[in-house]
Amino acid sequence: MKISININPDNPETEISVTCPQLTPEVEKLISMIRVMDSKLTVKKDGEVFLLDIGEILYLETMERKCFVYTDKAVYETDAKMYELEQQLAASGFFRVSKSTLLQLKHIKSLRADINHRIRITMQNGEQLIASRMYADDLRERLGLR
Amino acid sequence: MGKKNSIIDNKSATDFLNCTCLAFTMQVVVATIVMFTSSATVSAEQSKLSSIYETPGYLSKSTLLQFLIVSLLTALFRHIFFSGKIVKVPSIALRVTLMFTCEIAMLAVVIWTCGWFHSVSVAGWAGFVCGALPCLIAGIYLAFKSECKENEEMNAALKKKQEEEKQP
Repeated sequence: MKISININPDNPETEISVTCPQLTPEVEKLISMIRVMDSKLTVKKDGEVFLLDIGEILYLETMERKCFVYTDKAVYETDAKMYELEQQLAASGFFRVSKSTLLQLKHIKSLRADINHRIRITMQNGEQLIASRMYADDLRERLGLR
Repeated sequence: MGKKNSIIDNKSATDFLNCTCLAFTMQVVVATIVMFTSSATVSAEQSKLSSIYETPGYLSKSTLLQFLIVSLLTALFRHIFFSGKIVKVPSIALRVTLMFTCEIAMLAVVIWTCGWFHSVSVAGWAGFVCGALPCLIAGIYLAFKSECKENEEMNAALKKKQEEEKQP
């Protein structure tokens, strides 16, 4: 892959253009990573592709090897893997609460202690998620309780 | 949107076994202490818990088997109320209350059927109630207090963190 960087003080903002013979999965992945930096996530719903603002995402969940993106209004699907998203979205305040769930701290409404040191998380839209024992400790640490 | 409730950790068989072993060991230790602190003859007269090979003052095989059954039932109640698979009440304090109530009821049935002390013994039942009731009340109180305290701490920390993140 050839990378060229043009520094031009006259350009008002940073512009990235991708030139390729065809749109391969690798190129799509690259574009997706760039979009995450721009606070956008490429998602699909009913065959249509959307650019979702990361701030709108309540949580992400893997189910049967598929990754679902939950917002207040709809559920989307993304081709990205959970571990990739975890790395890419960490800077946006996302963190794991179980093996299959990533969520954004700012969208948590309340927390409640659950059995076996787990935490029941109520999201702003009223949905409830469970932080498993292992990840509940991480959440407590993140909140400065450990 | 309703898939999140399926994310519940499996309670391992090791936890169940540990709970059974712990309950069994505690029963044997307590019963043995009672046997040794009271005279063999008296304990044999007052309870069927004594006598191994017809020797008063020791725990019999059938008693140990009864303890094992009680331990298994105790572990089963813990699994029912604390695994999150069967009883799905969110409040920990309520789960503790239900579990203790069931365990005390189970113990009363076992005492009655296995004759751990004579079923007409007022002193025996008074002792049982005096032992069980404070445990029940203390357990519920501590569970309720610790749940409230932890919830308050977590939510205060959450709000603080969210405020911090809002600031540029």
